[in-house]
Amino acid sequence: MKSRQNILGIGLVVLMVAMGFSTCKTDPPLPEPERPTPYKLRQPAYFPPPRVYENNPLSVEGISLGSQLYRDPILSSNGMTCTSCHVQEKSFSAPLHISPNGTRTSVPVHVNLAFKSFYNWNGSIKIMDTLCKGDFEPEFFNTKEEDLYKRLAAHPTYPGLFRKAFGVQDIRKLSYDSLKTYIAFAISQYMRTLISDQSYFDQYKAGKYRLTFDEAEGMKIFFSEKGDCFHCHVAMLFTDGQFHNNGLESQHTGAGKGRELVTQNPKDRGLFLTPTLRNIEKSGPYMHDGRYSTLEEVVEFYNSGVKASSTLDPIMYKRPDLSRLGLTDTEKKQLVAFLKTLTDEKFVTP
Amino acid sequence: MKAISLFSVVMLAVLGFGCNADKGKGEIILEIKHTISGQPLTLNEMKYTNLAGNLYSVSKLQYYISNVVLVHEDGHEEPTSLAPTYISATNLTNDVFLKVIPSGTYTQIKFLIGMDSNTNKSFGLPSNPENLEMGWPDMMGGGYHFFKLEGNFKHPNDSNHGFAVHTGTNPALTTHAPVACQIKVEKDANTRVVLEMDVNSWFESPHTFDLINDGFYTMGIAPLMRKIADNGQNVFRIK
Repeated sequence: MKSRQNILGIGLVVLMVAMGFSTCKTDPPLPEPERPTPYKLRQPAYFPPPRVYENNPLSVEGISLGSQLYRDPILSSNGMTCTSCHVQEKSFSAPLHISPNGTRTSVPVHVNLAFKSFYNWNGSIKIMDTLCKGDFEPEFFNTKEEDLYKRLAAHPTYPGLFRKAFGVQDIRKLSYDSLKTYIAFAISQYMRTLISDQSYFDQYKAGKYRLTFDEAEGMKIFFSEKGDCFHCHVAMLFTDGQFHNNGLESQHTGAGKGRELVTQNPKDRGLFLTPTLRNIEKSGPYMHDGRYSTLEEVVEFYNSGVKASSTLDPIMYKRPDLSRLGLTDTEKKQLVAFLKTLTDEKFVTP
Repeated sequence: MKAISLFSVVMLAVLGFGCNADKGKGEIILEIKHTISGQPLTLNEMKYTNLAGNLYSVSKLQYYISNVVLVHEDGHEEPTSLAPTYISATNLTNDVFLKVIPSGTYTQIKFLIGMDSNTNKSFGLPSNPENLEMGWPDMMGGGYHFFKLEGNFKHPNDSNHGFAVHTGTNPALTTHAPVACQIKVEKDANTRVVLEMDVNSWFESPHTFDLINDGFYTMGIAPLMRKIADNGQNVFRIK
């Protein structure tokens, strides 16, 4: 009886396996649709978590596309690339940019952008994915729509990367706005990977670099009430990501109105986004309008040049005499020496 | 006989656990509000006057609440598991969730403004933007700012003079006086309670703090931070 049951059982199994094979043969699975390869951004110690862009998640293909487009004059009619104004040796910044209307701007660095909430000096951009859409305008790339379609479609690698990164089957069928959006998405993905966290200061924190005497003294000034730099230039990004009036002017006009030009709120007059100090040695000129060429000038401004106005940040009122930090010449040099430890040589070397 | 005894022990244990489970746990939501003279705090309006007579405005109010303890009617204390929680007047809401609170009636809330020395270590809290902004440099003792109150005030020499009242480091920790309340927590229910701070109180008692004579910048100045920390002991009440 038992052996009969066994035979029946084995027979059933054989039948099921056979049916399984039979199904595989007659109904092969459909090919998987092409999907971008997810990319996990590196998270440096003590950095805040990166912002999440659900509409534009990082992918290997998107970053690759963005990296190539960032350096390719294919986007412009005048030979310009993103790197024309965002030079790696200058921490993806550049010497002063002067707009056709005469506005002077210190080109913002492309450093640790993945961890920021606002972009541009007055925070006019909140979504990084749209940051570079303005670059197609005449002031920068002066992009010619028709040429852009033709060049991209005829390029040996871009059509494939657009397809893999964003599922775009035919670039030529995209609307111009969609095309620019995908380009901006790709460049945004690439820019999010520009992480600087290996400065001398980082190495010092990791026990891999010994600060010189002046650098160490400068660090004490930076991170104490003596210099009081730390309230706005918060470690480890060396920015608090907030807007402040640091006392450059007592009256604010034109682009000097800063954040007010975005919010239309007079209480935001003269406020600008705190810039990161990472690679600050490399990214002059300084302040939103590039008025200072050297770090020594910047330190001297904070030491003796802060001007009162109705929106001056309260934190700037440290002394009864507003504009006197009281740093000696030696202390000023030491502070500059410390600022230079924020240089990440690997990051600024192409 | 042995089997019966064992059975009895198991049954008692099961029943015992059952009773605890029946008592249940609920949740308290502390809805933190900031007021001056009973009116909601409005930022950047030069319209407030403190006890010393300083006319002032507030541009920033940030601090931590931690070590929240609830006191039962019978006086026994119920610690909560709340981690140091960042509060800011610029947040749309400041709801603090006290979870897994045993059912019952509570008549007092105790807490710190800031955090104890076990937690107050540099990068001891998650590195989110708020905590990073509240960082207190190692050069000055490390850890976090406990409290920041910034704004402008009318100074004899300047109609719009800034002030920055900051506290940090554990000698300047504020242990708030027990806040009287009547909070009934029921099983699987949320109880919402409004905990209201009168911002003016920071300048009032036990030390009348005058921005002109005492100082308008306190960070790292131990006697001034201590005064502010003392004044913080009675700034909240249940509404």
